[in-house]
Amino acid sequence: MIFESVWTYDKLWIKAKIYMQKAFNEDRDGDMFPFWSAIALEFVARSALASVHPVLLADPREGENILYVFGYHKKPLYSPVSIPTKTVLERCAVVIANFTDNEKAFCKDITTRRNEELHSGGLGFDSYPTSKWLSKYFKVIQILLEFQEKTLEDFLGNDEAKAAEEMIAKKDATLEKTIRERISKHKKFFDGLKPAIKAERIAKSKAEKWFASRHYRKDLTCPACANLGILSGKLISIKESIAGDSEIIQNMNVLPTHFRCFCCDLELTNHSELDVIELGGQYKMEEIYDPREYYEIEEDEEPDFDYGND
Amino acid sequence: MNEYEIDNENELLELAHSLGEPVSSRRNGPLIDKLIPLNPFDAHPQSLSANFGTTDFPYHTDGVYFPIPPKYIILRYIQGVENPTPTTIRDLNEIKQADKELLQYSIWKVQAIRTFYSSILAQDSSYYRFDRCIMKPLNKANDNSERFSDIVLGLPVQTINWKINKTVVIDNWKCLHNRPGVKAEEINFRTLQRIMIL
Repeated sequence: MIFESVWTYDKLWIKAKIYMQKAFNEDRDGDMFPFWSAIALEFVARSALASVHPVLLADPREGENILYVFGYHKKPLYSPVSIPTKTVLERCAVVIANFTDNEKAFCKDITTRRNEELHSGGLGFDSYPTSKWLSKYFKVIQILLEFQEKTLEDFLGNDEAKAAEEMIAKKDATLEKTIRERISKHKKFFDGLKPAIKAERIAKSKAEKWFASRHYRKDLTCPACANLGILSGKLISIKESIAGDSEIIQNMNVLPTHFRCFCCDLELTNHSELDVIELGGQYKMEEIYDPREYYEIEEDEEPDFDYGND
Repeated sequence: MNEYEIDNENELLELAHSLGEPVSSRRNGPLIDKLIPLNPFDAHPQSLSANFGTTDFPYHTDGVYFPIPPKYIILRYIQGVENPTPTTIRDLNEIKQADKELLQYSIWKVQAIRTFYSSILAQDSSYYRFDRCIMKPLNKANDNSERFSDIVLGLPVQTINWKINKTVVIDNWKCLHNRPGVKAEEINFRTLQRIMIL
């Protein structure tokens, strides 16, 4: 008989759908709708990892959990232990390009509420109307589903999916309006400055840009004041390095998650805010390494390996 | 082993590209190497010549320091004396199965940009890797070099008698080659061009 762990993709995917259906059977204003939805979300996140490999769900602190995934057991009746939800979310942030800190924070919040509901006498989902979380929930679900090549229709059924898509679109439109207003405010602020102050800000921004500590940064024209700000982001993937004449070039794909302009002080703080004004496209970063640095060759070691059969 | 007569470098490079991906033998080195017998003090400090000078080069695979050694080696004779020192080849396809298992089993440390472990015969039997200058057995128990030397020297010898523009393609995965000690008048003179092909 072929062994199948309890963390295979299909098993988790089916459970995610079961819990979502349980949620939809509840009153949308009640506490149990977000409760079952939170559990469904956790299964969607777990199935996303399982779609890469079920071993991503094994608790690595106990080696037997890893062996278990591949059908090896020390004992006949072994109860495998999976990673906690917090770790599931950390792993999703690494594995899924569009699952950024923003999505992770949302998932952590709803998970904390679920824990309060399950493990304490407190009311985790009290005062948690759908207006507070549901459109964001569907957006996060959509990101997790896309990664596992599934759609909202596959997960929610046609009718619920249509409603969810409308909510996502409306949320995006609202966010776009907010961001456009923010840009306009910063443009007005910068345009209203005296020329001498503008010049001083532009000059000062160069130094501030230099010292700003941001991951995978690149210059980007500010959508408000048209000066150069810093776009930074989250590493998605590293391409195979290329050997140049005397250096090694490494190309990385980055998802933008932050923009800051030091001239007009505009700040866009997550991928969604950038995406609604079409600045959310992934970009390529090129890093150039000295071969010694790339291969972590210590200066004091033996002379460079440069053998040839001559 | 295939033989050609090639009288220019363009044709040599064309042949190389038709066989696979030509690669420099050293970082930042040229694609076409010049192999000239040199005394150790004139030679590159990390080379066979630095180790053996103009005496016998032991049988070896070229480029053992690549993750997978080059599949082919092209050699072209472009300058030398009459009746030059030949290059000799041993075809490892002839090795018996029991010996092959031994060569797959023992572990060697290969010096490279990043030192790595390897067996003499790859685990899938697709290629051999052997160069005593930069390969050391992991420990005494893994040192099958004497046995390997006996095996190699027991295989039939193929001799490449050089003449100007003679070009040969050697299967570097399945053959070891050597250059015997050269004559005095060949030192700093006998010239072979070489291209390694991945």
